[in-house]
Order: sequence, then C-alpha cells, then structure tokens
Amino acid sequence: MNDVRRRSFLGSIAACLTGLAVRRALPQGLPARVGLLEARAPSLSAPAQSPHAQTQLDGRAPDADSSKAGCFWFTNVAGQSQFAYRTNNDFTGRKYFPQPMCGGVAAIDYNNDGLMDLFFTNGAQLPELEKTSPAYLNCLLHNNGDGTFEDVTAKAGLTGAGLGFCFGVAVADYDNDGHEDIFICNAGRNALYHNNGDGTFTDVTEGSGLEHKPENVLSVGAAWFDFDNDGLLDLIVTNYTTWTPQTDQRCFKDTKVEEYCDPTVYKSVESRLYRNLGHGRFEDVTAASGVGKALGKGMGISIADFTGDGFMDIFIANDTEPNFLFINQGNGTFKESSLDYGVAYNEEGDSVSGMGSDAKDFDNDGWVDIVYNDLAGQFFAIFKNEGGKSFNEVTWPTNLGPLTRNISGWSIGFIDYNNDGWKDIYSANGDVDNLSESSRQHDTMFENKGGKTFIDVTAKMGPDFAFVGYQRGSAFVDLNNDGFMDLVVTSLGQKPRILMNNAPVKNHWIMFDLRGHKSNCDGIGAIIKVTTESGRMLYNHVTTSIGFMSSSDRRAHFGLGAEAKIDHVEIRWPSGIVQRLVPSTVDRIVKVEEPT
Amino acid sequence: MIWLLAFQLAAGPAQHYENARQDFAQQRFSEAVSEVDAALHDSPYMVPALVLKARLATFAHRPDVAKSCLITAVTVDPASEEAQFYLGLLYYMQNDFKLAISPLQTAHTLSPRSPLPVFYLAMTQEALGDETQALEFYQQAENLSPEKAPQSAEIFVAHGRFLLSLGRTEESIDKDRRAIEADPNSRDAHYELAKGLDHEGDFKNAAAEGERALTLPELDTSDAQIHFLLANLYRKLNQPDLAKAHLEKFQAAHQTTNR
Repeated sequence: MNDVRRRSFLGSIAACLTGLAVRRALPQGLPARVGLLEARAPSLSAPAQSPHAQTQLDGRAPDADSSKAGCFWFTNVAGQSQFAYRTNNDFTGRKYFPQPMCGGVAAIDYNNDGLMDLFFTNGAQLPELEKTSPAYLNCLLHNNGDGTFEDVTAKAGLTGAGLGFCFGVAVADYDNDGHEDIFICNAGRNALYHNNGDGTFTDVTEGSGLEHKPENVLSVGAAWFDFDNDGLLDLIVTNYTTWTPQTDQRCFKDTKVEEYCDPTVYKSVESRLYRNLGHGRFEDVTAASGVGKALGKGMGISIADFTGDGFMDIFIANDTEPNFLFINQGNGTFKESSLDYGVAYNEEGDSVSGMGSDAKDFDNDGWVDIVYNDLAGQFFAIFKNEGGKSFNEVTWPTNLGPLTRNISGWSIGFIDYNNDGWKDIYSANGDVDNLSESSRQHDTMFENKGGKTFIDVTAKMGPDFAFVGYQRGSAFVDLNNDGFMDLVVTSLGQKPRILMNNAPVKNHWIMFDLRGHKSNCDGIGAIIKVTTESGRMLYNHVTTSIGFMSSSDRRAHFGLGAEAKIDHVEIRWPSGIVQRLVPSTVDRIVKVEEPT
Repeated sequence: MIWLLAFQLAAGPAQHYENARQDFAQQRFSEAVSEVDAALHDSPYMVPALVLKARLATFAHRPDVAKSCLITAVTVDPASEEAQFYLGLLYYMQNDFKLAISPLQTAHTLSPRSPLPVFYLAMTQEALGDETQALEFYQQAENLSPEKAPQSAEIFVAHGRFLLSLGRTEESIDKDRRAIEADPNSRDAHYELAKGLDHEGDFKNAAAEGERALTLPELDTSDAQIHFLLANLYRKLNQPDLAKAHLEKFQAAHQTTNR
C-alpha cells in the first residue's frame, strides 16, 4: 500500500556520500559510478508529476477535442443526487498505516429492478477504529434510473455502524436465492450481509464461519468464485498485515515530517479461503487448500481460469512482495505458481507495490491475461497468457510502461469504454501520501489498439474524469443499461464520482446477464465467447472482482465495434455445461439461463 | 613563542581534517569521525570538514546531521562546488527533488566542465517527470564526459535506461552500445542492452548479452536480476531447461540478496 520510494533508502544512503555506493532514488534507476559515486540499481519509486495531473492542477481544461457531440466522454452525475457519503479515512494529520486504503465501491442490483445500484464502504475514527459519527457510515445508493441516486443505507440496514474501519467489498449471491449479497472486509471482524429480498439486509456473519480470522488482521479485498464447481460461491479474502492503532508505527521524513510507514515494517500474512458449505455456512480451508502457505501483503484479487482446465484460479497483487498466482489443482487445493508462470515479479525480478489487478483477455486470443498497477516510478505491468502454460510480460511491447512511469495507481481494470471490442485499461490514481504537489493525480484511460499497444486517451475523457485527487476504489458498471460502461470512483475525502459514459461513438454492444442453475446463480466463472458475423472472436468471463477493494457489474459486457450481427455465442458454465446461442439482435442485455 | 603556538593552533584543524580524509579514503570510518570532529571543534566553519562530516553522517544513517553540515557549508561558502553538489545529492537521495535542483544548478555553474552535477540534474529532472529537461541534461552530461571511461559508460547506461522507460528502445540500445564501447566490462551496460534487445524482440542476442553480463563483476546489476532476465528470455526462446536453471539461480540469489 505504501509507496516504495523511500524503501531501502536509509539503508543505502550511507553509501551515498561515503563514496562506497549510492542507491539512486529513482525507480528505474541508473546505475552510476561516477568518480566517487555509485548508484545502485534501484527498487525505489519516484514521485513525479503526471503531465495530466499538472494540467488539472493548473486549472486548464483538457483537450477541447474531448467534447465531440457536445459533451465529454464521461460526465460526473453524483452532484445531481443528495447523499452524505464522503470517503472518510479520518485524516487529521496523524498518519495511521491503513488510512490510505479507504473507499471500496460495489455495483449491486440489490432490488432486482434491472438497474445497478451502488454501495460504498467507509473508514472510521482513529485510533478508536469506530464509526463514531454518521460521517463514517457505509452507503447504499438506490439507482432511480434517471441519473439520480437515493441514499437508502439506513433502510437497507447497511450503515455498518458496528464494523469499524471498512476496506474492500465483494458482491455476489452466495446462497443462490436470486438476491445479491455483500461481503465487507474490515480492520476488525469481516461482515457478510444477506439480502433479504425486500430491500433490506441482515448481518449474518455470526455463525457463518466467516467471523473468525487471525487477530488484528487487516482484510483488504475479497472475491467470490466457485473453486470446486459445486454450484456454491466460495470466498477468497486478501489480508494485508496485522495492525492495531496500538501497534501503529510512526515514520518521519528527515526526522520531521510524518509519512506513512513503508509496508515492509509490517509482517506479511496469508490470504484466507472459505469454502461455501451451503445454508449460509462457510469452512475456512486456508490451510487445507494450500493457500495459507503463501505469505504476502494482499491487495487486488483477480479470478479466472488461467489454464483452461475448467477450474478458477486466483491472482493476487501484493504490496512489496511477489504477486501470487494460485493455480487450482482441481482437487480442492491450490499451488502457488507465480514464479513458474512469470507473474511474481516485474521484468527486473523485483517486487513492486502491487495494488489493484484485473484478469481479462485483452488481445482476444482466448486466454485470460493479467494487468496490475503500482506506484509511480514502478510501471504498471501487463502479462500475456501464453496458452495457459505461462505468461510473458508485455508491459513494454504494449507501451504500457512508458504510459505509467509517473502514476500511482490503486484500482484498475480492463474496460471496453468505447465498445470497439478491445478492452482498454482504466486506472484510479493518486499517491499514497500527501507529501508532494504531485501526490494528487487524476485517473487514466489507456485505449487498446488492436490488442497490440495502448495509447493514453485520458485527455479525451473530459474534466470530470480527470479530477485530481487521491482516487482509490472503482467499479465498472452500466448504470443506465445503454451498453456503454460507466465508472464509479472513490477519492479520499471526496464525494464519489459517478461517471456516466456519454460515448460519442455508435459502436454496437451486447451484454449477458447469466443465471446459473447447476452452476452458481450469478454464473461467476462462466466463460463467454462471442463470434461475430465477420468471424471476429471476443472473450469475457463473469466476475465481480475487478480492481482494488471493489466489485463491478456482474453482467458480461462486449463491445462489437461496427458489427451489428453475431454469428453465435458460446457459454462455458462452471458446471461444465456448454451452451450455444444465436442472439437475433445486438445492443441489448441478453438474459441467459443455464440449461438444466 | 606566541607565534609558534598560533601556528600550531592554526595547523591543528587542518591536520585533523587531513587525517580524517585519509581515514575516510581507507574506510576507517570511526577514526575519520573522530578526526573530523576534532577539526570542526577547532574550526567549526571549515567547509571541507563539514562536507566530509556530512558524508560520514550519511554513512551513519543520519541524513539530518548530513543536511545540517551541508547547509552550514554552503552558507559559509556558497562558492564551494563540493558542498553545493553534495547538498543537491543529499536532497536527491531523500527524494526532495525540487530542493535538489538549486544546489545542483549552483554546483554546475561553479564547475561547468564537471559532468557530475549535470548528471544528477538529469536524474532529478527524470524523477520530477520533466522528460525534456532530463534528456537535455543527460546529453550535456554525456558531452562533458571523457570519451572512453567507466564514468562515461555509466552516463550512457543511465541515459539509455531513461530512454527505455520512455519506450524509445532503439535510442536506448544505441546508448547501451556506446556504454559498452566506453567500458566493455560494464555489467550494467550489457544487462541494459539485453533488456533493450528483449523489448525489441531480439531474444537470442538479448540472451547473449545477459550471459555476458553474468561474467562481469557485480556492481549495480545483481546476479539475481540477470538470472531473472535470462529465465524469461530462454522461456521465450523455447529453451525450458535453461529457463528453469536460471529461475532456480534467481531464487537462490534472490534469497541471499538484500533487495
């Protein structure tokens, strides 16, 4: 979570002026030995001002070209609604270690009206770790369908008043009753909220098996998936470290200015895997599954079948530790294989400050790839899946490296924002700390050019998109069911942005709303292949776990470009059932029932 | 008699400083600290001694003391290129990039033929995200460096590495090749060239450069880094046994390296 720019610095600065060795402050550093000086190969990140952020800080409007058709690509409509929620990490100057992680966001159609609603997690007063005022409450916004949202938190029973400091959120229908439920990751006990189907939720954590976790563990993110294909959604939770306000360490820059401590001063812990036993009960299978063997500082989780064997695997981005790739062995166990598969480290063999992640097929070759973001100077990384056998890092061939050298990213995801059939990359950005004028950053959108390279199109997205701040969580969701993916983004100390996609393009699309029967009701894990009339093949799979601390639209979205006809659709359900469809029209949401 | 005493007093701090300098050069740091403290006790504003104390303080993980010494030094003698440079360097190392610029600029002005201040200015501008300025300073540093010297190789490597981060792979490779010309035994240069060739898709020659780098003395680029690169390259070259071997060596080296 913390930035690494100061990591290893104190230990090596000694060498700096003594003429023994100098570790350079820059991340991609130059090794230099000039005269008395030497520079060590760096693992440090440098804060640097994004050119875009500078533009916004200067108050200049973005490229006027962004307003084709009289509007910007994304417009923030949050201001049209009355709700009190602000992402509140209780930042009052004293810096507590978990504060930078605040503002999980989830897309959830909690009342099954066909419109995706929004849920936000919030922080707590520190050091009490309690939601001592309404300013810390979580928030459920009902989508009115007219661009406005109504705060229904209290009515729904989701204030989370007793939860303390909340981080990530994961949405899914864990009990297959047709209503989306909510799991919240916390500094204290985690919480499972059952959707009662009448607009209210009940905290059913106690007795579920999810109430227990090692003492003082910070749970950051979670993902629902069915690892044993038994039709019941299981749960993986990323944990960051053990921490309490009492054990909080204080760190200072140059002995004077307080800064968030380097994560390496805290210990690594295991993620936890819970198997859904049905009837609202879960079994902690962390040890039995092998997941508990790997210690890290877990952040973003991505769920996908990376190997094509019909079982869902797990990618976890770790902060200052190697990433994890848990390959599902198909027998209830996982093997941590990140090094063998080539996704543990960056191209220099270094761990980075992994934050959010997503797993989608960005080059439409039928294999699920991985992207994760990290802090300024470290470069985001993208890994191309080579036939399920290994991954090749293609950060540089795809141009993602140069685009991200100055960005500190948190949530991230593949999103086909323009429906051209190529999944683009969105990142919610902002530094960990507030120590430089470049700390506040704006989000970025990198457009996928034919599955080969990415270009920065942020300037076209509009001023609402380019808001400069400390962005954290994000959800991809089609809020108005127009087939163009909208964005919801949290930012520390701010009202969230609800960014409606105004898409000044006419590309076609199709979206699939799956209902499993033998498989889990949400169809999470189902792999969808769309073959257009021209023979173009597009891939996606159902998941809600995208980015960091967040949960996105469950429905599987496909941009189709100019093509208005689909030859056929193939759905491979987690149950193993393969279903073939021939949609008669596009530009619509197709409800699909799993064959029985 | 009074004249002799005065001479001894005057010579005292200078001698202590000279002793400290020699101790420092021979990495006898405790002795150097004692000597430099003695020099500064007698002559608290002796600029070379302040600079030396700053360097020793840095070694002792006391950047606050180092900064205090260097600020005193540049206040006493703003024309001390050495004090200005080290102050800029200290700021740079502390990621206070904006603060680093002024003393490095001053050092550059005071010693316009020295590549060091301008080299660190390049790295500072790189850190600040000012690509144009950084590239200009790298070029200046290159121009100021002697043709064939390890120092020049380091600057070429740094410049090339920055270009690689900008996606300017061909130019980066050119810098790496010039670094190798300047210092054929530069492990960093061979490693960076291997990375550049990897980015270009020339995996075979990249692997050759990586293997060459492994044979050279380790300075900045670690064995672990090279093994990791080679593992990836051999995987791309469909040579799984070699890839596996290097991955194992990476793991072994990684565990013994303080990263």
